[in-house]
Amino acid sequence: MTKGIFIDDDEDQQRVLSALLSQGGIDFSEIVPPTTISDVSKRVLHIVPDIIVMDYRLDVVRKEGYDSDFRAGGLAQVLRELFLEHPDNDAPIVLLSTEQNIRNLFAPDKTSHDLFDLWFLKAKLQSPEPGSRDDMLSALGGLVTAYSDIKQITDNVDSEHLVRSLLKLEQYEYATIPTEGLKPLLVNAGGEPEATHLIARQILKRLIEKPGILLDESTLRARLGISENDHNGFSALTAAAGFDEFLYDGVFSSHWKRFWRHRFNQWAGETFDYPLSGIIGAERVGLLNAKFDLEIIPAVSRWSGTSSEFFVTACRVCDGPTELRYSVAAFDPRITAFSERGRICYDCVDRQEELERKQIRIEEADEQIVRDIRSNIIKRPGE
Amino acid sequence: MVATTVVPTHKEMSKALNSCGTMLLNTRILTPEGFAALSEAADKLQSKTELAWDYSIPIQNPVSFLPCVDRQGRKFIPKIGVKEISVVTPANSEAIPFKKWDIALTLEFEDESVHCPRWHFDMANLDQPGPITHLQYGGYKHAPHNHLDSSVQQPRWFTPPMDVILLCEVVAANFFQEIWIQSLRQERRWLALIHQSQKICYPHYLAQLSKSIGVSGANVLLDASWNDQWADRRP
Repeated sequence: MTKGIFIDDDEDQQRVLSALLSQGGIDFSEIVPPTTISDVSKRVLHIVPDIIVMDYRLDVVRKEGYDSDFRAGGLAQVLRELFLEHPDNDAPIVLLSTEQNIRNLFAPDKTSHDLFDLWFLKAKLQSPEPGSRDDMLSALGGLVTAYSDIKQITDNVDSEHLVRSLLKLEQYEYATIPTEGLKPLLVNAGGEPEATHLIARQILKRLIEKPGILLDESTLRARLGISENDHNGFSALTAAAGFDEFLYDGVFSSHWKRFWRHRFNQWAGETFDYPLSGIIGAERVGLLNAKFDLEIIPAVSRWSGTSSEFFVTACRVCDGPTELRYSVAAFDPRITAFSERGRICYDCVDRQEELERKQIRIEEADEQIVRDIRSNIIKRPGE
Repeated sequence: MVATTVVPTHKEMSKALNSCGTMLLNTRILTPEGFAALSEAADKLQSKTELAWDYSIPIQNPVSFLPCVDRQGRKFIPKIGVKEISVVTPANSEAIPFKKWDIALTLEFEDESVHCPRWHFDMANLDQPGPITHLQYGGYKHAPHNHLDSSVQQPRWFTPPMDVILLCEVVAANFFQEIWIQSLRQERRWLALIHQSQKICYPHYLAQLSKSIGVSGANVLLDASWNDQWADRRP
């Protein structure tokens, strides 16, 4: 059975949360107390967990045998080094902590961010809403599967075909999409695959978590001009137009549902005479409804309040469809050919709160627009 | 010797659009959104046919470059939109290899009250006065501030067609000259792209020039280029 360990210096939390974590099909019954980093490392080598979840504060409880001088970042760093020496044991490391610790301690601790595959709030796991918990547990399972897939591929595929094998594309199709810059992130200077956790991080952060050669459902809806609330309409269209053919089935696909952008674009090119991005949302949906005999509801701009916008992507903050003219660019220090720069809708810029909570930054070049929106110089159309 | 028109396959042009976008993105000339627009056109080319293919890039989601500043310190963004470029393999190198060719470069100023220069390239419609392939200034851009649009459509300058790659080069060289000199002008991959597009766009123009200049008694260039001379030779 898949094994996980949850490390927390608060014994009650350790017990309760381990039980909740185990509900996702991973056995978290093994207890590893955060006594010293060296002890934890030995236990990890002995247990060989498939996933490690840890609280951020491991330095609060002071008792006999506990160093109480390290937090999650320090421990994760040592474990990552350990996995470089023991590549077969390489496992995802996930942070699970309180909102306060995440905001006040983990967020400023930027050097440790790359050590964790994902982070979650304890409240999400303890939430009475099963959907929220299930999604988190499914993500943990998805990480375990992805690590296992990456190990299997790096063990069996030569570096020349590593990227397309991870993405599960045939060579002829892989050659048609812009992936320049991806291979050097996954294969080291000596031509060997990077460590599993490094490959996992690059794919998860750069391909799965942001749109680019892969699109999430929200972005796909925006490109089609469909309302983010019209789930039935999107499902019906998915079935009628065969969107399952665009589904990505490479690493991380067991939890993260993504669509190949080039397959979608080709379908759009074959289905419509003119690019959808040059047609307003209402008309796009009109074309879709006529073509597939559906009653899809068009997207509405959160800024202008109409469907007469050229929706282009999903806002990085609210996930709603947004248009170029009423959105600003999200700051991205790593611009590559295989990923798209995120956009943030004017509405989220105006409301500010969620933008700050998610800690998404805006491009410097668009800062004047931000000031103008917040000082009401840029107004909503018709205001 | 007059050069021969060489039309790449739809797949070759798809690859070229992605390569062009990648290089302009990597040299920090193109915005990521501009790259995505080129890449979308590249994806759609994949499902066209080898000998006749087309692409469009709506101006609402254009090939957009990084902001530039004019002499008065006002910020503008060069944007290229392609209404349609539709290529056919011509019978010979005197024939135009385009069924449709409609592309525009706009300098979009941040300040809406400033006139945005726009250069529109296209082929003359049937019975339209002017050269068969031409460049004209202005066009419709400023709605709802229509008074900023140029009210004169002439002159239509006789010009060789330029595809989106050649027009990107014009933007790179003119608005980002230092980067173009340092990182693109002699770069082999870049030159290969430009050469490929030149071989689509320029041979028939060159043949026309050569004929007008080199053959005594032939029509002078502008006359030879005028739309009424092309009535039975339109692609």
